[in-house]
Amino acid sequence: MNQDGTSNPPFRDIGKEQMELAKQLMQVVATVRHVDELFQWVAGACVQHFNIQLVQLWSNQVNPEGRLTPQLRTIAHKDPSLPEQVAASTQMASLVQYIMNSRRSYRAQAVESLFPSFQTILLKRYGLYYCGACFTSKNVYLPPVERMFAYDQLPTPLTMVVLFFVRQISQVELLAAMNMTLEQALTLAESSGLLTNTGYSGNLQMPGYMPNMQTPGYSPNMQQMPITPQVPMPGYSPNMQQTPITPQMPMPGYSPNMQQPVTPQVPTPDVVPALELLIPRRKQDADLMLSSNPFANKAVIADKKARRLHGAIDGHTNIVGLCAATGMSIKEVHIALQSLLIQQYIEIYEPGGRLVKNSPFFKDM
Amino acid sequence: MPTNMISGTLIPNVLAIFLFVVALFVSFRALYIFSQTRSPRLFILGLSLGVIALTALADLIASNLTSITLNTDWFLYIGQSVSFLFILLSLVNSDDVYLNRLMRVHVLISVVLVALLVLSPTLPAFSNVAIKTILSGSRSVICFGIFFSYISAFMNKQTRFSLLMSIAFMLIAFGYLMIAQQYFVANADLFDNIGDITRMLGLCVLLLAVVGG
Repeated sequence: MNQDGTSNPPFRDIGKEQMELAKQLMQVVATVRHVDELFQWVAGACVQHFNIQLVQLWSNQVNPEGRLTPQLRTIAHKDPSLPEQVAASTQMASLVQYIMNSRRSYRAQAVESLFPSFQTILLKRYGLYYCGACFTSKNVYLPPVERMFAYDQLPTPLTMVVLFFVRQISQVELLAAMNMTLEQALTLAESSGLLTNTGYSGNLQMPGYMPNMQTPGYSPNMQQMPITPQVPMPGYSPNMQQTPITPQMPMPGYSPNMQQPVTPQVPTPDVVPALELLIPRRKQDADLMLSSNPFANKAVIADKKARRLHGAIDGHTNIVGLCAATGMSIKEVHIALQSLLIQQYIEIYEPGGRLVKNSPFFKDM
Repeated sequence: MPTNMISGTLIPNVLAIFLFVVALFVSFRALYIFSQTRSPRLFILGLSLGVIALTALADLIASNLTSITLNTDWFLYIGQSVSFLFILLSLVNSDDVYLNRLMRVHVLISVVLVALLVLSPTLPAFSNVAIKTILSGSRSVICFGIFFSYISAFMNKQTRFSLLMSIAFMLIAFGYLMIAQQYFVANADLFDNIGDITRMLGLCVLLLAVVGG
């Protein structure tokens, strides 16, 4: 049962849906004239096959001055009554800007952590409870949006973000399927000549972008949690529960006889589940009672909320469960966890039991 | 009152009171800090010293209450041995799962020990010296183990706390060793008193480590 009282159809086999979509993609790409037509089809297919409520494809667009701004290329949604101002808002553009700066994908997480409260209320009213994002970039140029009076827009180095909104986040392999579909679409677009090899060659200016920027915490109004930066996964297992994905499934539709063999270019850093699914565990100080005096005042956790949270941690309950157990909001829990991590009272683990060493949720890990 | 009677009971009584006070103080402090930090080591320390404080109180009462016979030696020796053993076991491994499991086992064993105290009016006295020696001497062995743990910690990281704790447990271990030998020598009281005084010194150093280490 969802938060709005509706119920969902049984979980779909993401793997089968993705293979079906890949087969259709091969046929569609031969019929389109412009890459935006392909994007429109991909967005609609993702909504249909993956049971996504809303899909937006954004790309960077450069103006003659060399300034990059995110531009909404296409949008597809399941609910025909979804208003345009809810489906595409300035807050979403800001989020996309951040994702393009961080250059990483994100697993679906609660919209409360990404958007202001008024936006969250609107999104939830239309069943948009969780938001995730796929990021990709390629060494080709993306033609500008096909429309009148677009003569001043130039082909731009391909940098794309797909924002997707879902009702629930149980299907952890959704991000992998979205990434794979996007990569396949772009690969086929490139091989079909829908992308170009020439375009703007000047210096690019992206507001807030620094080449070596790590993953700062996104905060739409400086009062909410940072996004969980995660990276595209090269493959997925249809039977995966909550374990790290291993790249074993071959890319559907790939033919060794293709003139331009393609290799999905995906980065290989670690993938971290959403913040809510992480499990804190108490970390024992090996020196306590041996070298360090536990009766000294510094052994006590000074912060009251951090102390309460530390007491509630049992090594099995995830962050969502800890919120319920302590009565604290997820933001308060996040701040308390950050404090406990800095003082080395706890460690963070994935649901599968793997220690999270470098999480963008938390600093100083 | 004859002088030998005074010296015969004075030192053990002073030791019992001193042990009770120190052990109870450290136990309460450890359990209070455990309530805030949830460190299993502190719980084990607090419970162990609580049981040790109880053994001191039981010994004091049994020694001075002559109207009824209380065979508290079983609880005294076994209780102290087991308590020191759990302190030692909590120091050898810092794994969270291990310590939590040890904590649960400690609670169960402590319940059994308290049952031993409650049954002391009905328990028989020690039938032979061998049992007494083994139970008494085991405290010395275990305390030496704790001493070695702290001296190893001091070798790795020279802190005042680890130094003071190693000195404290060395003195306590030697004190128990002296007491265990009383069953084999002619002048048993001398060894008993020396052992008690050594233990008292050890407790003083332990208190110093806790308060100022």
